[in-house]
Amino acid sequence: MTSQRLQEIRRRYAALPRLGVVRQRRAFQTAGTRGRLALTCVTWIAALVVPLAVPSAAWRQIFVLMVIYAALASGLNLLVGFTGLLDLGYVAFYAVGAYTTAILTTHVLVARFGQAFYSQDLWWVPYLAIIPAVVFSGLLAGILGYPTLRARGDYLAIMTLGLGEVVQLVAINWSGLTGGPAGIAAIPPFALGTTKLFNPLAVYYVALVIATPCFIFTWRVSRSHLGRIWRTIREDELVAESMGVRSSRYKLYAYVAGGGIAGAIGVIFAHSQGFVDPQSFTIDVNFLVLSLVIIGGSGTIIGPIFAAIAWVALNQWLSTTQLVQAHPEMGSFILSAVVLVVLIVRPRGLLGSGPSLARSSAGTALRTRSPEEAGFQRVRPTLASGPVRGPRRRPPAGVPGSSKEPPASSGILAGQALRCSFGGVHALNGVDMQVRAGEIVGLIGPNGAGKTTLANVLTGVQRPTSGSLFLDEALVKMSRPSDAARLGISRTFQLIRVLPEMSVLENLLVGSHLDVKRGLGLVLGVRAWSGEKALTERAVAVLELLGLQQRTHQLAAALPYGDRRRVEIGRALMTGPRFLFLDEPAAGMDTRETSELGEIIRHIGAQGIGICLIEHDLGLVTSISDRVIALDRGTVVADGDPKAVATSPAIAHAYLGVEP
Amino acid sequence: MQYLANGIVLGSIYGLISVAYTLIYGVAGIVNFAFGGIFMFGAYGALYALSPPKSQVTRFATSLGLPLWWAVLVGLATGAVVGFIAERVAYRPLRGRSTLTLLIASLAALIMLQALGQFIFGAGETPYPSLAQGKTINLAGAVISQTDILVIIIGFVATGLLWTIVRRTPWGRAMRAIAQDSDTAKLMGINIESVIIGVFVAGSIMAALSGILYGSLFGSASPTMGYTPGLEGLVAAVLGGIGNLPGAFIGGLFLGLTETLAAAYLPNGLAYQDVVAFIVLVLILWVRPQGLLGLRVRERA
Repeated sequence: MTSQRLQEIRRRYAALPRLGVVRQRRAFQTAGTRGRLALTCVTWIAALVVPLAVPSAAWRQIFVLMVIYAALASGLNLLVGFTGLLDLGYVAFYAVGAYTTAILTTHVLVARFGQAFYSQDLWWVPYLAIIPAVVFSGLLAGILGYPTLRARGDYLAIMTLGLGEVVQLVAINWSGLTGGPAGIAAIPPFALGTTKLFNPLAVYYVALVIATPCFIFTWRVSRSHLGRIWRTIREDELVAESMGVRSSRYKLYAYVAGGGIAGAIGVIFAHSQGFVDPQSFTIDVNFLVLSLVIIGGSGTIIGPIFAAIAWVALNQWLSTTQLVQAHPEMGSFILSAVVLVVLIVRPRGLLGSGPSLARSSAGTALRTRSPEEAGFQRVRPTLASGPVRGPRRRPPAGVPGSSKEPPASSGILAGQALRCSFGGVHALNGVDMQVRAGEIVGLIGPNGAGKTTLANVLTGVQRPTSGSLFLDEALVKMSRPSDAARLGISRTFQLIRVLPEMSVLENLLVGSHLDVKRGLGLVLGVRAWSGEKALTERAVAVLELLGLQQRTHQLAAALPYGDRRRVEIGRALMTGPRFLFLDEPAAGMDTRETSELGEIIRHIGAQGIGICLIEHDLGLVTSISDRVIALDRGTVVADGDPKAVATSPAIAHAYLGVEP
Repeated sequence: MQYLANGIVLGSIYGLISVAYTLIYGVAGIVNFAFGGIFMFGAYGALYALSPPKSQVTRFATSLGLPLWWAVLVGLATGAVVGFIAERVAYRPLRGRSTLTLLIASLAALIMLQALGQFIFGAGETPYPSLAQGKTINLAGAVISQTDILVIIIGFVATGLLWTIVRRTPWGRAMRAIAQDSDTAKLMGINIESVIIGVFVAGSIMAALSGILYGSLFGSASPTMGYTPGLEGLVAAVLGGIGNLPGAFIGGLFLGLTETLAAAYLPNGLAYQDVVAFIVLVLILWVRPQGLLGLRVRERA
């Protein structure tokens, strides 16, 4: 990359806010997403009209069930599909919602007023019960979610399974409150004024009204920054943390959101059935809801809803067949068999369309990852479509990406007497190191010298066994990568960790996490509220700096190797760092790519960002570094002028074994 | 003392299922919930081999009327066959897929097995004969039946045998190789599919064995009898550090003891017996995410 070209890019960047980025907008909807959109519309219209047209009384009964299971599956999808948190105890939140309203309306209302409470102008209480139901189940989700935060995968599944069982056993045994194994009967039905709603169709429409906000919520979240952060956590929690995301907190949000939805649906269940008992909340129900998420298409919005409708219909149809009427247990046998077959035949679920583009593109080494885990819906382009309205939060200073205060030239990041041991291996053995703002420090050394460990310690990924870290001469503690990101220290990884199933632009927007405005915009995906328009422009500018503007909307997995490296640098820049650690950014790059990379790094450094460049390519290191530090077996063996270090006897000893 | 003895007996049964879970998880990475079903099929297999239960005479008119120990073998064989089929139908087509898919598949398998059990054996409870008659023994104030002693001995022996196989035979070495790195194992010429199917059969035999012991200990069998012990066995496997054979058995003993003692000494303990198990699980996983004795956590999420 020539310096003329850089000049030109800088000029274009300066002009960006005026020009807007309309030109960049590109049709992004694939046939799959368009198909799903059409299906969504059809489903909604059908949801309103079809029940009216069904003549059979038996079938009219089941529409409420469809709403219940569709909403439960959507809520669980937030946990499983978006955040990647297995939950085999989800049904507990549903139970809590149902029991809350059951206890409230029977023990409190009916006990006080009898059935007469309808005429007491209290008929609206069952609707209001949604609020405590959501609060209790959300609260429980937070409490139950907390101890499971550390576990993942199978362990998480087993823990949640246990918690679900505990809730069920409490429901069975706390007879005074829950009615024990028999449950609570005679729960008053929904009502409008003094008219009790017994007509299944009326109940259905009430349920639809209650559940619709849940559906809208999941849909909006899927398009919001919150949804993006959840998907990042699912794909790679370390990346999320490195971008400043408090991942435990966001996982808890997922629990609370999913739990809250289940609580609201529990209210529908209780009042439409008229009773609640522990048998309604067994692991079989949880298995069912989880299956609906997976066979519908985990991470899609419409998939679980569709699966729920199909399942309830199938179940109803089965119950009319001779075999199932003679042997009810065969109904669950057949349904489980159907689930199994769908799992085998449609790995991404019935409506999950995966980014097949990523898989078929030649020459990209994909991280192996199962389709289900990754089978989420592609998100609409978040590129701003017009000129910026409203003030930017902060004017971009220097480099596109540094949204923090203009870096003080006195800024300094220092580690003192850093030690880090793994078992008996001393990866770092008393290392002192400093990076100043605007300085490019090359960090070299043979494999196993402790370079990456040093970077890990300075970016909060690894806690040092002993030693201290100073930022601007103040002692700092970083217990997690997000702490480092919040202090303005960002990084890339030795093994590429782009988020393969997100677009390049989205990868960068994950990096802007710390600048996204908190509040409803974060949740509901309203870009004007979250400041995302400005952030998108910043991302576009960063992409231009990196020469990736043509790639903006491509999936990261589809990029060639060198471009993925650059996406990672761009993502780190989006956090607005004061210090940037690049862990072997040129590994696997050819000479041309490497020299372009050198230009980019030099340009970033010129903006006052302190850079620590870990690299084996000594040519690159000596040509762009202001200073080089050489590590060998956990200690600094040389520190100073690049040329001097490169020719020093200590280096010859470290690499070649020549005695100094 | 009596509670202690009861706890160890119950714990031996949990331990056996737990060993089965741990074996398959270690090698194939599957939490095989279907063991709850295999447990039940094993128990019924032995029961039918011995004599058809009275209530079912109409459907299975002929009694095999085999001697006790042959009947037990038939039960184990039933378990092995069911395990084999479950692996072929539910897991092999899904090899290499995500944790979530495999979990759902195994839950589906459990539900299918339970439904089949109800279909074949009828929904109700069936009386189950005791493995060993004879006098009870008084040991330091605890009354122990011969069945109890048999359960404990079989539990220890079977676990020890399996552990020896895993540690000492080429087949066991192949298992351990697959557990650590299945791709490399394949490159070294290990036939992964045959080892995995073998592991499934071995695990299923353990589950069937514990089903038979459970049935004879409590004197009854039902199509859903495997559900709770199956979960407890899983909890025990996790406590022991999933993938760790002796750990799993010890986890089973620990869980059996905890539950029995909790049932005895906590207020209303009998009702909350299972709650205690799960709370212990959550607490231990919270403090030690890799299990009590677990060293190596396989991240498959």
